[in-house]
Amino acid sequence: MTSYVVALEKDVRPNSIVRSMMGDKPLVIWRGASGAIHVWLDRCPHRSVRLSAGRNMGDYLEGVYHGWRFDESGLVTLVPALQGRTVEDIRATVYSTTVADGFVWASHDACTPAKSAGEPCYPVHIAAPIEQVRQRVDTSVDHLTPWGKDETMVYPTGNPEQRRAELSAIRLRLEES
Amino acid sequence: MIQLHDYPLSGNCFKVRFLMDQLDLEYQSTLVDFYPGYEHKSPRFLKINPLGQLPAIEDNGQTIRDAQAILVYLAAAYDVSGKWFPRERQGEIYQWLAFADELTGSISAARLHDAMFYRLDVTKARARGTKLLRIIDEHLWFAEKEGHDWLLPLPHPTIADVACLPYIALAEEGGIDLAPYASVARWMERFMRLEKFKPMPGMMPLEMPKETP
Repeated sequence: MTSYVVALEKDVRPNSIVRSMMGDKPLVIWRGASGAIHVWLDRCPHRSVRLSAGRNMGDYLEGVYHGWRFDESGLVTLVPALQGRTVEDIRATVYSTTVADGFVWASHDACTPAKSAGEPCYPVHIAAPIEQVRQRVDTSVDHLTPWGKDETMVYPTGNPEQRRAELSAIRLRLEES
Repeated sequence: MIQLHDYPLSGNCFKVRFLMDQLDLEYQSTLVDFYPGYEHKSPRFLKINPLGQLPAIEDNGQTIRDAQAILVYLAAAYDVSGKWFPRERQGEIYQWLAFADELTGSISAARLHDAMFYRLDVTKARARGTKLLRIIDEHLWFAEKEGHDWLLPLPHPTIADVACLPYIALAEEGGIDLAPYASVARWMERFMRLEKFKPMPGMMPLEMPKETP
């Protein structure tokens, strides 16, 4: 199945959390103490609050409401309300992910990144569906990720200033039509 | 001592409290019941600020209104380091202070509509807010690329950052999704890790873990 760019690798920093989207799935992206980048569904299995509202403590991600701890594999290792009793086998929804050419890729099944034409540039959010955006951009240069149903994130490569100007113009045309 | 006419849920009041904390200024906060009391439109408060807006300060017999003007006043009067309002970069500072005013007119308006039931064109307010978020997100991405963490290319934040931060951090209370703006998210995170930063309700639920390298 398809793999999508979901972030720039340099933007996923230790002790920090990145939000993104892959189609209709909200994502939480974080770098653990091991250095590995994790891409999960941005929903706590407990009460469905955004995991990205929590905090990245290095060895674990901590949920905002009830302090559940998720280790780097997505497994819940601590539920404070249980006061030491054993935690059942509860997991975050984990997507397969790979870093390639400065981009973080993710997929619902096996993650197989496409080739990139150059350095990552400023990602441009366009309020138009991916099919429409695909007709206007060169997909050998820009990676496209559906952002919800009707929006698209363009992850371009090339000369940042030049690409910004080009994509702003494309965005203007698509959003005004 | 400085008197601040204050409201805990106001992003504009947050700016003034934040800068006074940074400058270690002593102040007395007088709470104004903005919602649901509309005390800022009362005859008593209109004598302090005829525009009926928060915040306002009283200092040394002067009354100053408007969040951005108060930031300039406090930094000019009390910041001996000159960092918060760098005199050699006034053009850029005023540019971002005007931008902050636009944020109040758009994102803050959308928040007043959603949270305090103000009647206004919320679709228009959100669309304008989105335009502004794209501009500042892009600005910050290119600034980071040059090695800068703040709105001005300086190694420390200025009143430009203070003026722009709160209504951006509160955007989701006005129904504006912040997920597309990764550079803005990193800038907010840096801001919220500053020493003496005290969040206001709606800003961030948990204290940030230790500094990122």
